[in-house]
Amino acid sequence: MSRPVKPQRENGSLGAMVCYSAVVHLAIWFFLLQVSLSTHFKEAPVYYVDLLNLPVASPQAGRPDVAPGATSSSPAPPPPTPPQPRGMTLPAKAPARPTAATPARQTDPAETAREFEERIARLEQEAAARHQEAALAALRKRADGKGPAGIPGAAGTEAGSDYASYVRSRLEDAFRREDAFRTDPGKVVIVRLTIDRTGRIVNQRYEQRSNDRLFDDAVARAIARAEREFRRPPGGGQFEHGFVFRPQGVGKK
Amino acid sequence: MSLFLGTGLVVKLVLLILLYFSVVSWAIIFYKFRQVHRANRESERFMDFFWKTKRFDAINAQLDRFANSPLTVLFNEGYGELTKLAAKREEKEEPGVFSTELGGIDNIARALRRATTSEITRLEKYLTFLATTGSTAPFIGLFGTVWGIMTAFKGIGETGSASLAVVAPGIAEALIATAIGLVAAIPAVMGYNHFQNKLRVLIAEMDSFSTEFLNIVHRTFAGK
Repeated sequence: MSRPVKPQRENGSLGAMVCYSAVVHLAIWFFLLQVSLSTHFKEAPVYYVDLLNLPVASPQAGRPDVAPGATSSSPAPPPPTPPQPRGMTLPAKAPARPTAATPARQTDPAETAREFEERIARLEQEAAARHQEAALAALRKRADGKGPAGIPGAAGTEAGSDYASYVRSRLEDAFRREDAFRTDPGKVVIVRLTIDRTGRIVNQRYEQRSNDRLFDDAVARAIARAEREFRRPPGGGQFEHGFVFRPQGVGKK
Repeated sequence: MSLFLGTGLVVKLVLLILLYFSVVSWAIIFYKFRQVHRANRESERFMDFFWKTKRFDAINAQLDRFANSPLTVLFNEGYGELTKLAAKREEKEEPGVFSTELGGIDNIARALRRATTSEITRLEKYLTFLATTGSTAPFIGLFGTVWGIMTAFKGIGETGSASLAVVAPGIAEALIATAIGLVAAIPAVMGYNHFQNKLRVLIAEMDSFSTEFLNIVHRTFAGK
């Protein structure tokens, strides 16, 4: 019998596998980083539309044919209601409805389930057709330009609102992120902003300060943040307006 | 990246520990996968060769070809014990013969058992780390999350504001610890179960081979 031979194994060391694993982890990390960067979507712009005056032919357009300060652009007041008689009168009795008309509406007890379903389906179809017709009519009306055009007081370039309201809303959005300084409701900062025709703030004058440095700084940060999203003022000129910052929100002066 | 950088010191430490667990777990998974795969493949080849070859010394000469199979270790130990017993008998002027009365078969059986145990130990090495990772990583992650949420609430209390914009980032940063804990634990548990199953098969093969080896020895050498 020959002497036993010890077989020589060639297993890779665990250290090499740790290095390999670390490289794989790094690769996955960079992959996830790339994916997260590529899926970072841009925030969609916010449009403000005056719901009271809808529908309009083109909410984005406003009314370029009317001057911003013109009063004639306001909608016509509703017609006055006729004066009601002062004397107390007994309510008139409603005429008795003919009973023959109601049975048509009532469900026939002998009606089968299938007939009932067919009737419901027919009613739904009629309702859908009515909605479709109304939508098409509205679209045709808008395409013909016969619909109410623009918003009273609009500047002609903004979405259903005047430029000061637009700026205020942007400031409000920016200021809402400064939650940390909303503890004392008595603080007020009034700032007059001058915006040039490119939409940049060329001057900001503090008409009143809150005597709280943190709150003042929050206002300044909100203005700086909001400025990035400002659009050009209407008419291609400069715009100046005062805004009131309170912990509850932003208002126009 | 911003989620990691935005966390506090404790949460960062937790994340680094979990990263260490994950890296080492995957290293063990790769290592064990290679080891078990080779052991299975070479065991099959060794068994084919074992049954085709009639002579133990011829098998012994070819053991290096199947070095990663645990069965070669068993054969090596059994054959070694057999040669020792044969040499002892030769010294007693009865060459090539040994008797079961002298405990020859028992000696070989003990050698095979010892080899089986050492091979099981070798194959099970590092698997405990996978089990530890699978059972503790989620708790470590949970600890990081709890700590992060505590810190976030503390910050909310200091600023005095509880809006979603203030609360959400802190909680998101805290929750990443639980996520990483699960990412580390899930592959570890899956790997542990997979390799345990593979090892059970290998252990059964080793037991079967030991029995076969003893039978052959008993048939061939005992009682001559």
